[in-house]
Amino acid sequence: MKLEKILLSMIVGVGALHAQSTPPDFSGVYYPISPFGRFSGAASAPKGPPPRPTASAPLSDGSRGRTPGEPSLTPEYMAKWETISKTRVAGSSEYDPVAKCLPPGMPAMMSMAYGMEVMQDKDKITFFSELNDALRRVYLDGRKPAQKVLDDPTYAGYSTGHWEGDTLVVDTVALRDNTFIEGFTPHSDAMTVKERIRFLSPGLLEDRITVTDPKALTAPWETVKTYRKASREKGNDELREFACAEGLGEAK
Amino acid sequence: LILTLSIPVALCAQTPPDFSGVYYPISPFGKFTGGPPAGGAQTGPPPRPKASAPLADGSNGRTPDEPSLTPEYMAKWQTISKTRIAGSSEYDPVAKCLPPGMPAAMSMFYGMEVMQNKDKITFFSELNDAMRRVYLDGRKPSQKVLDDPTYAGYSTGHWEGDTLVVDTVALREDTFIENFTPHSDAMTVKERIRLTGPGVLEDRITVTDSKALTKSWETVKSYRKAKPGSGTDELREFACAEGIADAK
Repeated sequence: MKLEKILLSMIVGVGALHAQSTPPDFSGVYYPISPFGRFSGAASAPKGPPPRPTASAPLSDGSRGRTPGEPSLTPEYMAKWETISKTRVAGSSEYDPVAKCLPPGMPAMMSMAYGMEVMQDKDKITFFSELNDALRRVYLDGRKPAQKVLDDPTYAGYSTGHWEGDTLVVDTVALRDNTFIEGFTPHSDAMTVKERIRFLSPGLLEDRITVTDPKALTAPWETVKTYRKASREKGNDELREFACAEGLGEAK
Repeated sequence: LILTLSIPVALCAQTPPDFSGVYYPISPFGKFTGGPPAGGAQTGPPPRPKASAPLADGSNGRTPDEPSLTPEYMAKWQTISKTRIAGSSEYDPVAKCLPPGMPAAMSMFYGMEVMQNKDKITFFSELNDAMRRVYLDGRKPSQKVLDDPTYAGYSTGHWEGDTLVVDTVALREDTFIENFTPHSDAMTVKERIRLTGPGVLEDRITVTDSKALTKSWETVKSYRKAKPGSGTDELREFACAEGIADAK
C-alpha cells in the first residue's frame, strides 16, 4: 500500500465529512430587521405629514380592523380577538403576557423586539430573547416530548429540530393558549409551529414560520422574520439583563 | 507523517473541558432525601442544638461559616431578619420574580443549564429563569456596563488548564450573598470552576466586599450532571410572574 494514497484518501474523506455533515453555526447575538426597512429612530424620521391610511376606517370596510396579512381567525377566535381589542382600547393589559413580565410565547417571541442570543451545539440550539429574558430550547438529538411535557404546556413550548442541509427545521408543540400569535391575535391549545431557519447570507438569519391551529385559524399562517448578527467590532453583541419584574415592584 | 499526526494531539491538549449540560446541585449536607425519613434514617427526636439561643451567645444569630459582616452590614442584616420573621419578602429579589443575583444564583436550587463555546459560557438558572454570561474572548466591561449594575453582573473568564477562572463585577447591591446576607455595591466575585470527576462540576467562590465584609468569604458549590435520556436533562420554563398574576 502506498502511504501517500492512504493519507490522500484520509484528507479527502475528512474534507467531505466536513462539507456534508457540519451544520452552520447560528451562535451569536442578533437584532431583528424590520419588515418595513431599517429601524431609523426619531432622528431620521421621514419629513412631512404621515401618509393617509390606504384603507377606510376598519369597522366600516367589513375588515373588522384586521388586515389581510394577519392570521385568518375562525368565528370563535374572531370573537376572542374583539374582546381583547376592546380591553386594549380601554387601556388594559389584561390579556398581554409580556406586560405581566411573562414570556411572549411562541411564535411571538421570535419577533425578538429587543435582541436575540443564540447558543448552539450539536444536541441543542437555544434562543434567548432579551425582552423578558425568555428562553427557548430546540433539541436536536432526536428526542421527543414526554407525555408529562405534552400535558403541561409552556410559553416556549417543546421544540425538536433537525438539519435539512443548511436549514434547521423545527417543530414546536405543547404551547400555552394564553399568548398571542403576533400582535394581539389569540390562538388555541391546538396550535403548533413549524420553522425553517437558515442563513440567507453571512450574518443574516431568516426564520420562516408556519402556524397551524385547527381551532383558531381558517388556514395555516405564514410569516418570515430576519435578523442581523451583531459583532464585537460594532460593540452591540452584549445583551442586557431585562429583569422585567423590577418594573412590577416599582409600579406597586 | 509525524508532523501531521502531532498537530491534532497538540490541539487536543489545548482544548478546555466542555461543561455543557444540565446539572443539579449536590447538597453540602449530603444527598437530598426529601419527604419522611426512610427506614435507615435516624430514629428518635432530633439532636439538641449545639449552641445556645442565638442572641444570648453573642453570635447575633449568625454561624461562624457565614460571611463576616462589618457593623454597618450587620445592622442591615438584623433589619432584614426582622422583616423575615414578620413574614415579609420585602428584601428578597427571588420572591419578587427577580434574578437571585451573584453569587446566590450559583446555588442553583432547581437546576442549572450550561451552554459553552470558545468565546462564551452561559449559566442558566431554572429558578426564576436567570441567565448569566461569562465572556471568554478577552473583552472587558465598558464604562456603560460598570455604571449600570445588574443581578448577574458582568463576568469575564479564562482557562487555567482545566479550570475556568471567572471574575464578576458590576453587581446590584439589592441581592443576598447567600441566604439573607446583604452586601454592598463594592462586591466582586471570583470563581474557579472545574470538573472534579465525571459529570461532577465544582465552583469555588470567593466573595470580596470591602464595605460589607470584614474578610473575603469562600464557599464551594458542586453539581451533578443529568444523564441524557434520564428525563432529568430537560429544565422546565419557570415563568415566575405567573405566580404574581395568580396572586392578584
